[in-house]
Amino acid sequence: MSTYVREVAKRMFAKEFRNSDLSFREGDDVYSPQYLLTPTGARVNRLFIVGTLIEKENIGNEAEYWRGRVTDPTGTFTIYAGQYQPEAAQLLSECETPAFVAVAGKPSVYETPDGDTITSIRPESISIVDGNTRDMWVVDTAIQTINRLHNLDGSDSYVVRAKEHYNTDKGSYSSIVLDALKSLKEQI
Amino acid sequence: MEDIAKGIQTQFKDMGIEVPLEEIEERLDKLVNKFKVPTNEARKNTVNVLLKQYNVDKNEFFNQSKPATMSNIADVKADQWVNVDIKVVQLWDNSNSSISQVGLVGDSTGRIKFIKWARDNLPDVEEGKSYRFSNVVVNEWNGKLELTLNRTSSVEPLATDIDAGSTSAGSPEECQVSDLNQENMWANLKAKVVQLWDNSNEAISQVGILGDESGTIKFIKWSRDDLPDVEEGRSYLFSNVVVNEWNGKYEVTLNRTSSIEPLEEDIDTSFQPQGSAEDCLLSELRQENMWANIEAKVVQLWDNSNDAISQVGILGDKTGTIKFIKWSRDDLPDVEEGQVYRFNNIVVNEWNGNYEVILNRTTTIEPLSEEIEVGANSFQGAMIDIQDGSGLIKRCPECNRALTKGACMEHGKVDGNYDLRIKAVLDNGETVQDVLLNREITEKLTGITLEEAINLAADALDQTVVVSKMREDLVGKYYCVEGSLADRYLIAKSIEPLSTVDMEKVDELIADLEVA
Repeated sequence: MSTYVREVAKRMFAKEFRNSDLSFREGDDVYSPQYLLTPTGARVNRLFIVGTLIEKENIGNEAEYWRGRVTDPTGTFTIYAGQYQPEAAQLLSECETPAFVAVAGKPSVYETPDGDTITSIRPESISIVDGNTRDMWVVDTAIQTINRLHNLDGSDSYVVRAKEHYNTDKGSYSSIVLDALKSLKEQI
Repeated sequence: MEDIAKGIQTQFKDMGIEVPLEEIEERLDKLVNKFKVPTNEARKNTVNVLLKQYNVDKNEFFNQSKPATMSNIADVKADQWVNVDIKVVQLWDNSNSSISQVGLVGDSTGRIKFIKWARDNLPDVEEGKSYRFSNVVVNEWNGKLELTLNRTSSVEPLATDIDAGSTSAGSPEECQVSDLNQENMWANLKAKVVQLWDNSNEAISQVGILGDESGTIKFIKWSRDDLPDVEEGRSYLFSNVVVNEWNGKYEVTLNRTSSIEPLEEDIDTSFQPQGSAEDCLLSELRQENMWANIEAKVVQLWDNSNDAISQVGILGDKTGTIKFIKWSRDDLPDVEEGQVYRFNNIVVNEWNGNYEVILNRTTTIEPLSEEIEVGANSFQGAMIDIQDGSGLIKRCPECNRALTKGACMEHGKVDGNYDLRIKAVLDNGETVQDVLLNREITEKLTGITLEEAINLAADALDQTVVVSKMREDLVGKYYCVEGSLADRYLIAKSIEPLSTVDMEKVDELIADLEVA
């Protein structure tokens, strides 16, 4: 590839992100980008989420290392920011909870000694937003997830791989989306 | 809400701690109503906050678990620990290596899904046999309950046979394609295989379109069901097939109990996806399944990892732009970015309120020598970054280039003139668009004038405070930008923050999903 192409920030709900555990490198050198393949076939090198920061804690020893939990209508994203994410770490150290936040960042997958996998986000940017932006993200993410579900019967090689790995149940993901959209109607 | 608060209060009371109900309710209310946190997460968070506040050990708190009780399938409730006597009704195909077995179990009162995880090393169960599952958890997943076996569970074969009800399905009726309009309906269908699609999914044996004189419908045949293959153009009797619905469209799914018999007769498929193509401007392509001829410039070609797609990108003419897709199977010549073409016989497709141009087997592509001026472009998306070189900058007085570290690439160290601009990255989840905002638009969007920006920088003795403030105010929100494309930048003529949810769109999406 001749020109550098910036990776698109994918949208997905916390439940789908949490259910993801298949990561791979595209290409074989150390600089090849790393991707997370989700159950609905999103190939994720970057993601964008908006939700409520409900918990933050500095879990570092000497250097600050912040862990935050961000909820959406379906569950919780975990974000980690340390010395290599100075702006994100600073915002986490200064902000109050709860607060609406928008986070763009890289997915990261950790395997526990038990064989469980835990997904989290390393933020590139994090900012305080309002409730309307959060609702717009829910609609945005619903549409993008529906699009992926619609393509789930297709022959795209990543989709096929995702379905083989996760045995993706289309119905359960469409009801996740449905519940998320319905939650917008329940608000006052 | 009050119930949840009381529940939490009781849990703490069991530990000998008295928490005022109002305190719990206030936290819950703030999380749920003001900050839109789902109730279960709000409950967890409230408990965590109180644990910290009252200095209670987490493990001690959560270990007050109750012993499992014997239960019927019909009586189980979410989050319960139960023992059940069941028969394994069905084991499902499972390619997820972390799952050991998954399927359906039942007793005389009902049926429920169960999952057994590989990590828990429990013995395997067999279809049709009866077992006692002890110490299993009832989980709720998408409004449906399921039994999850865990490390502490046990699986013991039973000598007695558990009655798990009958497995009969409705008896199928002879149907036409147009009758297949109900989810989970069983049918027998005489139809012709109109099209077989390319399919690289190993789980699917064949997929395509069936038709009769009343219409057409998608069908899927799964590999696991070991059914004979069908041929394009031949007619068959499909017995015992099920109708599924997806995104408002019905499809026929063949299953283990289906049968396929070739027919001598040729089923008439009188519907034809035809329409005569007329010359159109891109702004006129506003109708699903419309055929048209267009003259347009390839404005952008996108990266594409999908083997089935040969090229995908944006076409433009004086009326605007539209997405196009060229499929690999159609063997059409490649197009180049920046070149103008005449496309005859394209089809318009609608997806989520956006129209797109689909090239097909019958499409022709001819390069044209004329140039086309592409009309205003717009882009909607979230601003996920503001790049360095934004905010308060200095330009070379000679050539107007932005200075880096006080120097012009052409003219060296110069005393530059201040300017304001933003190089923003907008992202709609499918594409990234770099957007350039000039001083006037930046001032309007941020409410910071050039004078104020200079003062801010002077007060802080740091020019970058301006871009930091802009990042803080703008990044993470949604915008609609209009402007013209130059290279990789969309030069903004206007930018509008988007801050209200289109509730009609939400209703539409909900309605679409509910029929599915």
